[in-house]
Amino acid sequence: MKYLDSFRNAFYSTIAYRGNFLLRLVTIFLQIMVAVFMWQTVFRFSGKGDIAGISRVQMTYYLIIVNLLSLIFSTSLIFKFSQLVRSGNLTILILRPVKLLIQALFAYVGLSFPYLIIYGFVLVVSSESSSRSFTEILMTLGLFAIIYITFFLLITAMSLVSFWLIQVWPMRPVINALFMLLGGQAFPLQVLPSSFHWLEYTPFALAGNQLALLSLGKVSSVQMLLIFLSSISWSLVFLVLIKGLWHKGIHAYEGVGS
Amino acid sequence: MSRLYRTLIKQSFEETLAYRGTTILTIIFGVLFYVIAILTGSVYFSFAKDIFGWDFMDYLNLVTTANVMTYLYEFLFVQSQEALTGQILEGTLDYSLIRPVNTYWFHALYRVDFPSLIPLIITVGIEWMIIVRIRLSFSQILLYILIVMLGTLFIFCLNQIAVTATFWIDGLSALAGLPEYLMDASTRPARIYPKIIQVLFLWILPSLTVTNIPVILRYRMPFGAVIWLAVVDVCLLIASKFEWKRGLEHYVSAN
Amino acid sequence: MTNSEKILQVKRISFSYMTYEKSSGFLGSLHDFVHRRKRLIHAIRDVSFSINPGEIVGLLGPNGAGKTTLIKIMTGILPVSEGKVEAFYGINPFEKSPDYLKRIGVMFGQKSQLIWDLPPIDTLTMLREIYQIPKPVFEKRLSFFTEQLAVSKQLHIPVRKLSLGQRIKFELICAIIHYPEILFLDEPTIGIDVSSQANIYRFLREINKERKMTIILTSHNTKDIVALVQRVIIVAAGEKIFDGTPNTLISEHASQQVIEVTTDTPIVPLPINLIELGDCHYQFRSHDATQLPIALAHVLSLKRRDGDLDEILVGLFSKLEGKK
Repeated sequence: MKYLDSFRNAFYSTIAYRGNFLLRLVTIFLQIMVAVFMWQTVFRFSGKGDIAGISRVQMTYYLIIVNLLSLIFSTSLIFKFSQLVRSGNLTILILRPVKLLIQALFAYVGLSFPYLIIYGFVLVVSSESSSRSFTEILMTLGLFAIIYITFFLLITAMSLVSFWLIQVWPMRPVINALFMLLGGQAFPLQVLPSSFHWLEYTPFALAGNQLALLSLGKVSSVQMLLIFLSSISWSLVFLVLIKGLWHKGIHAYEGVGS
Repeated sequence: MSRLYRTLIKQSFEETLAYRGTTILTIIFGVLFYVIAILTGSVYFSFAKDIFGWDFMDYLNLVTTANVMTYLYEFLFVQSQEALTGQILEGTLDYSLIRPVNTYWFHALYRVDFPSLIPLIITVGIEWMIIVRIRLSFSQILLYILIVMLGTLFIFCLNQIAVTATFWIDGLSALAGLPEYLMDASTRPARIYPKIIQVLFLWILPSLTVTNIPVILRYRMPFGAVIWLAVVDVCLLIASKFEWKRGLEHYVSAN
Repeated sequence: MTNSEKILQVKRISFSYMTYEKSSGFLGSLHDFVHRRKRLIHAIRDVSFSINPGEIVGLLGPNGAGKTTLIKIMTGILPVSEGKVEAFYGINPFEKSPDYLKRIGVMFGQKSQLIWDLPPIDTLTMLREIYQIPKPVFEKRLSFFTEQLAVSKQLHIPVRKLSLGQRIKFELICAIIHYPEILFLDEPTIGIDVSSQANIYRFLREINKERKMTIILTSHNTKDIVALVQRVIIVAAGEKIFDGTPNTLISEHASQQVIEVTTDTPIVPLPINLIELGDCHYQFRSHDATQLPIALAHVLSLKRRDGDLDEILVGLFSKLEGKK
């Protein structure tokens, strides 16, 4: 199947550059350590046993999982697409008889596949401690899949901006920062005052904060429903955005004549 | 050489004007990043008013100074290093090899990044307010400026070493991000880390020194650390130049 | 002519390098993850020649013959593994002394030194500073060059908006703006139209005559060579196989006359030494005539003509391929 090739190529490209792969794991380990040390210090100087219902140990688990998620939700698609636009090779891709969006999704899964495996491993280890029913696990997996696609659509919409942007490098630190803050990588959004709780349903929060809490079994069924609905709504918004941006962008692209 | 640099700056400016959209976005993103760092800090300090004797003002000083150095680095070098990475990967350095100029500095100073100037000015303004607020003396301010310069040079060297490594390891984009991660991890009070990490990043690869001594300045004059930072900077610069020389040799033999 | 009068001397040089092999498939990727295989490539083997001041020399050879490698060695980009290169009576190019670099100009047809998003004038201004050319001199030269190459109007248009031909012309101007004593051109006219090519050749001949500029160019396009050079050096598989004037080359290999034959029925199967030109219309080299695999009764016409440089080269290269 033609789309499986995209998956395979992307998967190989993640592990073929072994240095890159290992370095990414090292940097994420570094980030986890930073967050854990910072939060342990905050716990120590606050004199409290738990913050927003999260204990010191749970916080460590949370930080490990949320940082792994930041690897799974890769942004490299943006830079790959920018290269295609800048080099003019996009023209070749447009002429191929494939659905670009589906091809990109398979490539996206391929890129994050090694990290998905690690994530699965951590989940199995961490679930030893919490007792969850089979349906709960199934629902968690289902939500994971839906949120995964939502985030993929978000990244795709963002990558289309390279039709107009010459350099996309500022997007890398910004997405990292957004995942840090809105995705709950620096701290769980639940520690914020209740007037900020709507933030928990933004795409970055769904992909980071909520999936991490889901993995720890700290999400009620009402919240699960809310997560499901917001994820679907975001997906629709991004799909519309992608259609619009693509349409306009292709015109701009051909106008440049590269 | 200075006339050549003037020409390169002029070209950078023309390129900036040619892509106004990119420029504006870069500015917005730059400021946003700084704001997020402050927000994160305010969350920490909403749970603990005092962390190892530091209050929120100290934390603000830490984050702002780190950002001043980062933006100064970006203004002076980031575009050049981006361009260099591209040239190494695409194998288009050949022309650089036949130019009768110092190629190391030519590539390090090839472009300035004008968009970074705006967040740089903003953070310098905020830092000035912090300095007024915590009442640094004239000599403290002089030392502060020296530390910022040494810190910027430190960030440049780390990045230059990472970028030059692309000569050997193609597709190692994660390596280019490593200095950024390191500086990010260092934008924290050094004492939150275990002793071993403190020793490592205060003295061996002093990224924590770079970010922490401007804050410590409020309480005492950290002369020893400043001198040590200068020594490390010189060593890193020499190492990076050596790496560049070897990298060029590798480049030509690999082509 | 004594050795001391040679502007560039290449003495018995060799060049080899390491390469890594990449495996395919999943297991291959995993294998490369752990261990990579190396291979030593000999790009240049024992090549010698020397260049006189003011000469125009063409380096010819099939793809991958080592032409670009030779240029890179002569310009000082690459070191030699064995042997010695000496320019301007005693300078080793690989030392890359500013003195040497200021006296040479280089143009790689497949690589650009123009700044993509800015007009050519910006790259040229940068080069003015790099080579420290006084402003009036620079302006005088620039207007002469752009006029000669018919690109005066394009000087202030961003490079990305120029045609390939215009771009190549500016690349050439970049290479000679400091009036180098030796000009190296690597595939200078690759992919551009015939009239631009002719324009460039005329211009090169003129500056060669006026400034006594030594020009060394590589090409796999024989037209480049015939139009310009006084001397050709042919390399194949890293070795020099010919060094002399284009006329010598033709006369030495003129024994290979070409015969064109038209038949009334197609020749099936087609032997390898026979080239099909059209329906029942073939050509072969004269010494292959005894093997014509068709009865004379089927031959409608026969015509003999001398081979041109192109055909001689094709013959030479294919012979070498056969040897390998």
